[in-house]
Amino acid sequence: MDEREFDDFYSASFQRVTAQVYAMIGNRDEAQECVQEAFARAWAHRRKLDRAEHPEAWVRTTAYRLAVSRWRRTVRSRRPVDRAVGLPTETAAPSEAHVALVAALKRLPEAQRQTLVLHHIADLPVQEVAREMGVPEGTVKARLSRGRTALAALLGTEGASHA
Amino acid sequence: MPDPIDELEGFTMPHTTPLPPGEVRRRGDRIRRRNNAIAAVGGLAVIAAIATPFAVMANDRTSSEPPVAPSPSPSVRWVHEIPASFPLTEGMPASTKTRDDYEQQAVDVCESEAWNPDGTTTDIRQAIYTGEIEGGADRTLALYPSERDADAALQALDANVEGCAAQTTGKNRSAEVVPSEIGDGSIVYADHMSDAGDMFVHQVVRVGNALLVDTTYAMGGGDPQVVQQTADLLEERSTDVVAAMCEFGPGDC
Repeated sequence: MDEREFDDFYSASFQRVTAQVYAMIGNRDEAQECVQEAFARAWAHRRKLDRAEHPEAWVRTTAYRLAVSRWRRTVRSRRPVDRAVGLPTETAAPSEAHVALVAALKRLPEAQRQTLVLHHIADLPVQEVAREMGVPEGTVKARLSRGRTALAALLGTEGASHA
Repeated sequence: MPDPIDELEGFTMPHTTPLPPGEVRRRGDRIRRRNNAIAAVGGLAVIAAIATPFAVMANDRTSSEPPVAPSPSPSVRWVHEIPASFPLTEGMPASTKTRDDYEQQAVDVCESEAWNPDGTTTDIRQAIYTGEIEGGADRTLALYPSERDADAALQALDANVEGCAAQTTGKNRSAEVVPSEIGDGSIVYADHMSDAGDMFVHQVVRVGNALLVDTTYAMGGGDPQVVQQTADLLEERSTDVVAAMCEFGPGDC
């Protein structure tokens, strides 16, 4: 991957991956920083990225793991998270429904939340979600079903149904 | 309230201000340089230590003296025997046993996937802990004739693991490369044994002409968080050992 290919990849994917990681972790600034760092690592390890079948999945997984790892370190040491990369974010105020959805996602079990995000926000088919999470497809289907039900309950929309 | 799934599928993030791509690449370049910095700084220190007396001697010469032929590039003397005091079992349980030999403890996902000393090492020591209930852990330190040989072994392992991961992605028995903060001188990967979540996580770190191969057995491999936690645990547990490996690097500790 040369500079131009990387720049195109970064420009095309950054906003999308950041939204997905934000939905997974519920913290917009942290999501942006982790995705930024994941892209920096992608460039540092571009030889590996060239061989990756799904470079965007590589970045998403790296960003998510960085977020989890940073959260653990912060909890352990009670220090503010590392601000090695990233500008102060300038974002518009989100809508009430958006805030409610993010809050509800945060209350779901980790695995259900990640599964819902990968399937419904990243738009990955069940098979791809299973591959990325390292679990059987049946597990993904079960998590999707439970996750949808739990989300509907949390948002007070139990009547809503989805195939 | 709208349907939450419709909300999810229309989930977007308010506009953000990401760094310019060039800035991200520069950060990536810094990460790459940092990964190589320790070896480079050590090497320069050795060269400086050897070159300084020659520079002093050159300054003392009168201009009528013939120039001294440039000395050959100083070569690093790699350590070829593991000192008895090397803290190989640091961070491992008290009942860990050591041996001056190597026997693979973990199971491979792909044939000939794992690191193998293959008769090319100058010295080797292995620490083995067998868990009371299930699994266990082992750690091996291997010295090679030179840094280049150790790096070649690491690169060969990297190719094996990447190849295995590519072949087995999505299968119950699969290899997975774990993003790692240790850098280009290391490889971290998980070998998933089945869909039950049992796995071996491996961390292989090179310093100078030495490779440290750390392996642990764990459950919960279906959850990426557990894989990462296990990798983090390996890194934490081996911190002092990796620090002690500086004696196999080109410079002083």
